[in-house]
Amino acid sequence: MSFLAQSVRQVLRHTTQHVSLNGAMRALSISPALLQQNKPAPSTIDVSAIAKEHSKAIQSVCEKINQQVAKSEQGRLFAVVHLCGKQFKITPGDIILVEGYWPPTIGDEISLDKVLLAGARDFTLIGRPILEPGLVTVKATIIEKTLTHTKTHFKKKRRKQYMRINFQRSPNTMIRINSIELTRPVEHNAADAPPSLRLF
Amino acid sequence: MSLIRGFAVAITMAKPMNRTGTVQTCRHIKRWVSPTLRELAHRVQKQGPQKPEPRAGFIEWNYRSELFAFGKRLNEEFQLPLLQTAFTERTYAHQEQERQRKLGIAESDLHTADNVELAAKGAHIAKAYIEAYVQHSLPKVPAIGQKAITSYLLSTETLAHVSTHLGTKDLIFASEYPPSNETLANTLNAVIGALADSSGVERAFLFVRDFICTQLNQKDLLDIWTPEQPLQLLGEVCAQRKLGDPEPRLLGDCGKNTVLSAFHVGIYSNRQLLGKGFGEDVKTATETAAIDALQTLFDLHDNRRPFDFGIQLETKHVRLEA
Amino acid sequence: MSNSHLFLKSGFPRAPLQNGLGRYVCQLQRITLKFCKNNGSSRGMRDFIENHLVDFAKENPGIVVYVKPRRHRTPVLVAEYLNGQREWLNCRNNSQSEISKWIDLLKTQNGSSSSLRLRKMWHTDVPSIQGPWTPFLLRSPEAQNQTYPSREISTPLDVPQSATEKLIELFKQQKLEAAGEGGVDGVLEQKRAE
Repeated sequence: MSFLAQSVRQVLRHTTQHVSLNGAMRALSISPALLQQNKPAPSTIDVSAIAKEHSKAIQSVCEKINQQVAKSEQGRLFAVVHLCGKQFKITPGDIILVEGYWPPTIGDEISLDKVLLAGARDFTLIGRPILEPGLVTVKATIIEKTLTHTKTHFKKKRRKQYMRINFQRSPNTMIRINSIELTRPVEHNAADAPPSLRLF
Repeated sequence: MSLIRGFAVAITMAKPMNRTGTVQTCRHIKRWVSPTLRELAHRVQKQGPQKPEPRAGFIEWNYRSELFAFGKRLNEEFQLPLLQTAFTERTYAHQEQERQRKLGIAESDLHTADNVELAAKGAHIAKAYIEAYVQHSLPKVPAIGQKAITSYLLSTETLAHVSTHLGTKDLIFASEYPPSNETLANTLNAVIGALADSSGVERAFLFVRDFICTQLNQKDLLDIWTPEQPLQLLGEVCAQRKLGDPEPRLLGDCGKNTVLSAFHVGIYSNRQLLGKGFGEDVKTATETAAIDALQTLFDLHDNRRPFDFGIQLETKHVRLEA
Repeated sequence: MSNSHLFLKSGFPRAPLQNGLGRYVCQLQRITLKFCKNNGSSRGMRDFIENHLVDFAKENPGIVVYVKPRRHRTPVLVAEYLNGQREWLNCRNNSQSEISKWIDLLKTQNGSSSSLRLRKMWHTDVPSIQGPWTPFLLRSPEAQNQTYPSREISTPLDVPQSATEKLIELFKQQKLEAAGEGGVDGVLEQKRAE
C-alpha cells in the first residue's frame, strides 16, 4: 500500500513538472514565435482541489459497491488469481489445473490469496499488483492429483550415431473453486493505509 | 547303463558345439501361436458384442466390505442391513423367492426385503429438500420455473447419473445387468431413505444437497426452463408488478435486407429499459429481448449469484409432510 | 520411438459428479493387488502387503482392497474408479516404496489419466460475467439515423494540414500584417514586384 501512496504522490508531483516542462520546451524551440500556440499557461494549478475532487469520486464509487454488496446484489464474482507462477481467471464452480509438483493432496481445502483482480457484473477491483490481503477470499478444494499422459522426448543427430529417447510424465493437480467472496467493504482511502507487513 | 550315460554325456557335449555354428538358435514364439490367436479372434468376432460381466461374478468380490466402503466413501453412517435392503430391487427379490421355493425351503423362511418402501421414503425426502433448496436459491422465479428446475433435478436421467457415479451399479441386486436408468434412480432414492433411517433426516438432506443439488453448478438455467411465449409472460409479470406495459423498440440494426441481417431490440416499460436482445429479424430479436427482460426480473442470468452448496437449510423450511 | 501418442485421445479437464462442491469423494472404489507367493518379481509387492497394506486399508475405509495370490505371474495393481474406468498397472520387480507410490497415485486420481491428453488447464461454463462485446455496445443513438454512404463519416478523423493549405495560411497572414502596415496599395505593389 505504501507503493500505492508513493505512486499517487508521484502523479501529483508530475502535474506541476508538466507545466514547467512545457514552458521550458517553448523557450527552447526554434520555430518562429508566430506559429506557437501561446496559450496562457496558468501559473499555479490547485493540486489539492483536484485531489479532493478525485477522492470524492472514488468515495462515491466505493459507496455504490458497498451498498450493492451489502444487499448481496453483486451477482457472480470472478477473480484473477496467481497460482504456481500462472494466472487464472476463475469464478465459483470452475476447475483449474496446476502443472508440476505441488504439495497439497486430495480433499484439502485451500484459499488462494494472491488475487490480482476481482470483479462482478457492475464493478472491477484491480490490484496493484495484488488486492490487499483479506479483501477477497477465494476458497478451493483439491480434487485430483495425477500424472499427465506419457510425453516422448526423442532426439537424434543424423550420421552421428546419436539417438536418445526419454519418456516423461509430470504431476498435475486439479482444483475446484468453491467460492469467491468480498469479505469486507471496499475502502476509498486504502492508499493512505499503512503498508501491510505481509509479503508473498 | 553306463553305456547310456556315456551317450548322454556325449550328446550334451555336442549340443553347444552345434549351437555355436548356427546364427539363430531357437524360435521364441512358437509356430502355432499366431494361427491360434487368429482363430480365437475369429470366434470372438463371430459371437458379436458381449454383455458386460457383472463385477459381482469375479473371484475378488466381497459384498459386505463393498457395502461398508460405500458408506465410508460418502462419509455417511449406514446400517448395513438397511443399505443391503436399499440395493435389493423388488423383481430380484421375487426371483430369489421363486428360486428358494423350487429348492424346497419352507414358506416361513421365504422373506427377502426389497427397497420399495425405502425408495418411496427417499423420493419424498429428496423432493421436499430440492423444492426447498430451489425456493431458497431462486426466490424470484415463478412457481412454474421452480417446478421445471425441481423436476429436472429429480428426473430419472439426473438421478441415474448421480447414482452411477456413486458406485451403486455393481452393488444393485437387480434382474438385469447393467441396471437400467430407472433401477439406478430408484436405488438412489432408496439409499437416501436408508440414510434417513440410519443417521437421521438431517444427514439425508445434506446428502441430497451435496450430490443432487450440485448438478445445478454453472448450469444454464434457460436450458432447463425457457418460457414459451415470453412476450406474453413478460406482459403478465409487468402487470403484476405494476411496471407498465412492455414496448419493444429498435435500438439498432445492421445489414438490413441481407442474409446476415442483425436487429437489436430493447424492451422498455415506463421508459425504463428492461432487456435487450439480438435476432436475424425483428420478431426473433423481440423474443430474445423479452427472454432477457424475464431473466433480469427473475434473476436467472448467467452472472447471477452462484448457487451456495454449503448452506444448511433449517428443517422447518423443508415441507416433509404433504 | 512410440507412435501411440499420435492417436492419443485429447480432452478438457472435467471432474466426475461435480466433485469438490458440497463434499469431496475419493474416486477410487476398489484396488486389487495380484502377486505370486514365491516369485522374485513379486518381492516388493509381498513386502508392501506384509508391512503397509493394513495401514493403507485402515486409513482409507472407502477403498475396498482385494489381495489375489497367483502362481508364477508378475505382480499387478488393478484400480477401479467410480466413473467405471479400470486401470491396470504392471509392478514387475518394483520395490516396496515404488509400489506405495503407485498406489498413492491410483488413490489420488479420478480415472485412468494416461489415456487422455489435456488441451486446456481450465474449465468453466460461465466464460463471461460482465458480458461479451458486440458492435452495438456503447453505440451512440445518433448512429441509428445515419444514412449511408455519408461523406462526413467516410473521412478520416485526423487529416493533417497539407503543404498547400499551410502556404495559403501563411500568405493570408502576411497579407493581414501588410494590410495593417501599408493598407491595400502596399499589398498590390508587393504583388506586382513579385
